[in-house]
Amino acid sequence: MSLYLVLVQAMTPVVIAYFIVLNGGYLILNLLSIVALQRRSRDAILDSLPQVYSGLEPPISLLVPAYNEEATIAASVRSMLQLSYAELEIIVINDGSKDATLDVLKEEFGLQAFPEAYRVQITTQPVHAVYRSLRYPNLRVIDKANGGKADSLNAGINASRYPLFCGVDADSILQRDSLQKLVRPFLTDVTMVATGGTVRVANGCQVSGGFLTQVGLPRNPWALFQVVEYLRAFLFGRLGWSVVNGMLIISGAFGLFRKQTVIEAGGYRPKTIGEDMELVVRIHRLLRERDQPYRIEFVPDPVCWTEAPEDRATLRNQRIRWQRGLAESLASNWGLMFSRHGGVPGWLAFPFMILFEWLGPVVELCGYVFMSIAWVLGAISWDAFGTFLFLAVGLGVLLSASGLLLEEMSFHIYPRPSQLLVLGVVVVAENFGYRQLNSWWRLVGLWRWARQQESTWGTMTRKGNWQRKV
Amino acid sequence: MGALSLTMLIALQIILMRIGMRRRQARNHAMTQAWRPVLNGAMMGIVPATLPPLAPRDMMPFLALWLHLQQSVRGDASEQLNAIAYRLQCDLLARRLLNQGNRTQRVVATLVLGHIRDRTAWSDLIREARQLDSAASILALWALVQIDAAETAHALAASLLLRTDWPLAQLATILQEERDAWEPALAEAIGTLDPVRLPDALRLLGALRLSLPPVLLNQMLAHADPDVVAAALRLATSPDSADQVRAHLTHANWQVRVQAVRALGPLGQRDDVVRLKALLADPHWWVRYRAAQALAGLPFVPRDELEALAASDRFAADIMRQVLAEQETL
Repeated sequence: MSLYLVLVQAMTPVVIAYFIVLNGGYLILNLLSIVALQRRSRDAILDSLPQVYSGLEPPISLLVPAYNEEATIAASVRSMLQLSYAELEIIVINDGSKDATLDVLKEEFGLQAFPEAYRVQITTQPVHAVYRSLRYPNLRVIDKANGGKADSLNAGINASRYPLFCGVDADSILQRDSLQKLVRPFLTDVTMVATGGTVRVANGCQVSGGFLTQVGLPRNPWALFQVVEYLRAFLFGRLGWSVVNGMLIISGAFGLFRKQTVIEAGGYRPKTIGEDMELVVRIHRLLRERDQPYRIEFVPDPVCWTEAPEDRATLRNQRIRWQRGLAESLASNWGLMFSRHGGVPGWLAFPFMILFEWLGPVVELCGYVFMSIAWVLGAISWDAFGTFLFLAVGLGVLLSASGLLLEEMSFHIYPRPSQLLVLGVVVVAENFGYRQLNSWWRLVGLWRWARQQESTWGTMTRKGNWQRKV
Repeated sequence: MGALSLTMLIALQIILMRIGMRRRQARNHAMTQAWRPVLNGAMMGIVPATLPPLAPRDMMPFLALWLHLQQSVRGDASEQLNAIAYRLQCDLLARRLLNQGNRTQRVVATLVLGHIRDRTAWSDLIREARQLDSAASILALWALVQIDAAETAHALAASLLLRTDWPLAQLATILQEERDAWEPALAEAIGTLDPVRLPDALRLLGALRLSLPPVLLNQMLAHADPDVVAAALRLATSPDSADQVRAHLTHANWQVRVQAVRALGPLGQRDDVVRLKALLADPHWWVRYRAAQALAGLPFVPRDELEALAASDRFAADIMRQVLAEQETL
């Protein structure tokens, strides 16, 4: 038997086993999510009643990093000022924007330079000035030298007054009660150090006054694929891990953190792309090393909406960036893996991420190429190749369908039957091309990470019509 | 084939769930259309002689609607809603659900019994308040407080201070309208409380703006645990405590110093100015900030003296300039 055939016969079961374990892992997360959503549904009736607040809920600092956001920043801040929460301060961090971001903020909100006794708890690029709004006492703006998103968030942490802070992307659309939902786990558990909420795709939705007024599906196919992707990623990816306290990602678009824990961890790491994930993994690692009890929880309620890329080039760049961020986060916290006190994050979540998210694109694409070549050259039978395709595509469809099921069990965000039908079609269609394309982009991301190319603020072609001044 | 079959099953499940949800929504809509005008009228004192029919399966959505309205009104309007509930024998239903219902039904029943202040459910609600389910048990506490605040305080003050899962903010909301009934019971319970629980208990008292008997407060202010002292300083609002507050201005724990400065602000005398000025050089930002605020709030410290501080050494100047600017802009 030639070496070639031995290789093919050895690799075929490995590739098939990989796909089985990958999808099996996700199915287990799916089951955990079902349990969590059922538990949550018990309190649905309480959520539907008018809420009474004492004003004693922990105050929150909302940190909004902004770089060249002149077109949208005023509308974003205006909508954040309308968030429903007892005590809230908003700190916009202008990260050395080259456009008129700061001028827009000065004009729209009546900013005045303020002699703030700025505390340096985390080292950042120099702060040029602190401004305070004459119209909104809870709004401040930090003007600093350019240092990236992580550096901006660190400057915001330094300037913040409150024990909890929430990092928000300037272009996010928040639910009016989003902070109330995100803070709840902190009220009942003193060991809570961070919570993250579900981010949904805003494309196709109607937005007025900075708030979402009607949910819809986008017509653009790229955005449509991402609707299903987000359902899958948040409703069982993160929720499932949250049940076992193994969630390694909180979206940078909207996450609430205990400030003291973040400061003790050293703040966000500047010059990283995936600063949101890196921070969460580092918090896990440090608190596990200290053997300190803690919880990081996912709130499944849709609290934040974001505009997804609608063209191939922007989506590609985003996915490359995400994969680089993932690789950076895992590589810089390697100590968590199989560590003595690692628990679920160290013994399950981290290896899972390494195997299926970090190396996933390599194995997945190599699997497709290897099996296709082997079949074309007659090294494997059609049965074996068909089994592989069925596992790769069929289980992918099953996972996406289960994401849709979780959505239907819990939130019914898309009420019309036609919307359900469209999503059903997308659940199948995304497995024929889109998923594989994504794997390719992620592979490029891995390659770029390996070459250690320098990170920058991600450029994103946004429409954001709802946020522009009319 | 397995994956395909499972996918088809999921698709079927989604369709069935969607059909079920549509039916429920249509039924709830019909019930709401019939009952909302009646309940709205009742809140304004217009009560019809005969009520619309209400099918047993519509009782839960009806109670949700009724609770929704109850949570938004007080006084006569609330009593009129209670009268409607009694006419529909919701009290009997709620008591039955509290004992035999599932978790959601028990929660709804608890809220209904609280609103109608049904004393006959007292022992069942006490049982609910003592169970481990945080959300359900704190609602039972709320219902008991509605029925008889003083009796609830007597029955549950000690166990309430042991519940670490009940959010302080929610507890304060529940107890604040009946503060007088709770003050003696909480003070008594604090006297015998495990020191580990003391900080939270004192924070609750602070949130409710309750006070401790002077002897007990002095004990807390002299406690070895800095967390207890910091929490007790929030209750030190009487001039009688001023000397103990001053003693903590130089405490090794910065959180105690912050609370001492905050407490001294409203109590401060002329000779406290020197102490507060010294704290403008404290290594911790919050102590400096609160000291600057306290100085700026003392009525006998003239503006030019504060401005002189803002031009003094860097630490004091930075924080003093900020506080003076805050006063100007607010």
